[in-house]
Amino acid sequence: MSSFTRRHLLLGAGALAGLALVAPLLLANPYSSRLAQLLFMNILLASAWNLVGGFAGQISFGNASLFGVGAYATSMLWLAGVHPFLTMPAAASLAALYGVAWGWPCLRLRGPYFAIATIGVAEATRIVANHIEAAGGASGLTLPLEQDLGPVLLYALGAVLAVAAVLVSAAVRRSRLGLGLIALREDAQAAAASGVNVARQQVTVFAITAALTGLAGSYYAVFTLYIVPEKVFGFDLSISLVLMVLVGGIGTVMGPVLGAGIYLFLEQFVLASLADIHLAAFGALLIFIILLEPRGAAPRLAQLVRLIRKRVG
Amino acid sequence: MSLLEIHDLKVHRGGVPALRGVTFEVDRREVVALLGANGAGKTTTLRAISDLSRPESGEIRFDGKSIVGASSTRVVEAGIAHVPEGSRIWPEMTVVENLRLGAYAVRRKGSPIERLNAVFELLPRLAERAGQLAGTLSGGERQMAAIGRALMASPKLLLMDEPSLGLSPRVVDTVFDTIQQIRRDGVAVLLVEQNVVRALEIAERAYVLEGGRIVRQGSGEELLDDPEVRQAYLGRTAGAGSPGTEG
Repeated sequence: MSSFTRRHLLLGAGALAGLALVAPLLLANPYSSRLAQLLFMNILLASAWNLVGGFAGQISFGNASLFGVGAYATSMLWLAGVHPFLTMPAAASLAALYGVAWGWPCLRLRGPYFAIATIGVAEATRIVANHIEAAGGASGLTLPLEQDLGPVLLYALGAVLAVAAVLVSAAVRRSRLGLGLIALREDAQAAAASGVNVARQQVTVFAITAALTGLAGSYYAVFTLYIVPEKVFGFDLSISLVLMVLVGGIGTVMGPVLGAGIYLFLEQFVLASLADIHLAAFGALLIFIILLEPRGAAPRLAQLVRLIRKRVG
Repeated sequence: MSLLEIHDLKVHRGGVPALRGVTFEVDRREVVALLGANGAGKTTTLRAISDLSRPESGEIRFDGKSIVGASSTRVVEAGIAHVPEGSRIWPEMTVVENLRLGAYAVRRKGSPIERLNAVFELLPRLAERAGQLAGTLSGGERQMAAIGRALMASPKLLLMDEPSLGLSPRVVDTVFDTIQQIRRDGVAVLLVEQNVVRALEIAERAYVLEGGRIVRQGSGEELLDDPEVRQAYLGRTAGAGSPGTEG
């Protein structure tokens, strides 16, 4: 009953090999390189959000606060002369610390109360960040352009981070704690009757969410080389995570991956032409999903795969 | 000293008294049936034992220790597992995941794999369905999964709430066979059951609840022969052993 099987590691290695194979295609020009980076970042962010949002059913609209902490930690350390790779553990740890600091009290709330609290925390963080002069204030930080890691290294880094996030998600899903959280979300009474009492352990999972979200922020800083509070602590970012996971399939391991891709596609190719009503269009999409396909694309895709397998075999 | 001793237990539900001072006991390795009409307080009694509802007053002792106010996790740890009414398994999880959750509170009590094998031996149907989503099981299999989940906690006492409700007669037979097997394996069972005849046939002793009080008690056979019990739960002419209308 190990929660992390050899099969997972093999699948992870396979995914990395596949990503290495398509790398020449995606690294063909700066635009496609950037798309790949954004995709890896989105997968990382959506998988992280899903740990608490999907498995424990606690919807956070405040993950930008963790993303921003990661982005700033990496940027400030890099500007102080630390190699960007070495800043990443610090970014993850600081984001995890900050996540636990506000997750501890907020996770005592459930449902809409938790969601509202997370908005408050994230907005407060954004406003404070705008006024910290040591961190560049509202104009943000520009990173040493001449030290850019280059598209190949950034691609490899992103691929490793994204695959690692999915593996972590699979491990949590199968772990004792993950099962307990899902059990509690699905049927609190049956959970109580079986002696499953994990409400407090949500904080543990939230720390993992926060660390991964901080890593995403760190990665973002490393590939954009320019961060401002309005972007990295922005409410748009927090909402986009909720959307990705809902589109893909909340509470599943592969849903966030799927959603991250779908979201990127919509954002780049459909909504870019609707810049002014960007948020309104996303709002409409959200309503559409919740009404018509509340479980997202992943279960449908799984259905399709089963159907094809039946036909073939 | 009995395994479970309940003394003068009073529980309110929504401000209304549901148990008005209930006293009874369950010995090691015995099946005790709790009978009574709807709303008599059977489920409330089970819920008070596993801390799903708090008693107003009274004492619940298990293995000599008071467990009043202990969290449901502690209660499971102490050795009481609950098979709730309507099975309440997690349909979106596999059978094995459901079973693993039954062992959640008892991490320190030996190997979960050994327990899983013991459960599969008792309920071979579950072994066949191990990797399937529990939501795809039949009604009888779901009940078995709920029983298996409770047994994963290696309990000394199993609380069972209407385990045969809504099942076909053949499956009901399996459920009662399983209960007897569980007793043979050394686990006591406190059984709430609408199938009064079947319950009294396998129970060493039984208590009849009415309006939150125990109004009758005795061995299973005594109560089966008791004219008032026959009239209340089996109908006047229930010599053929058809189940009563109590729900």
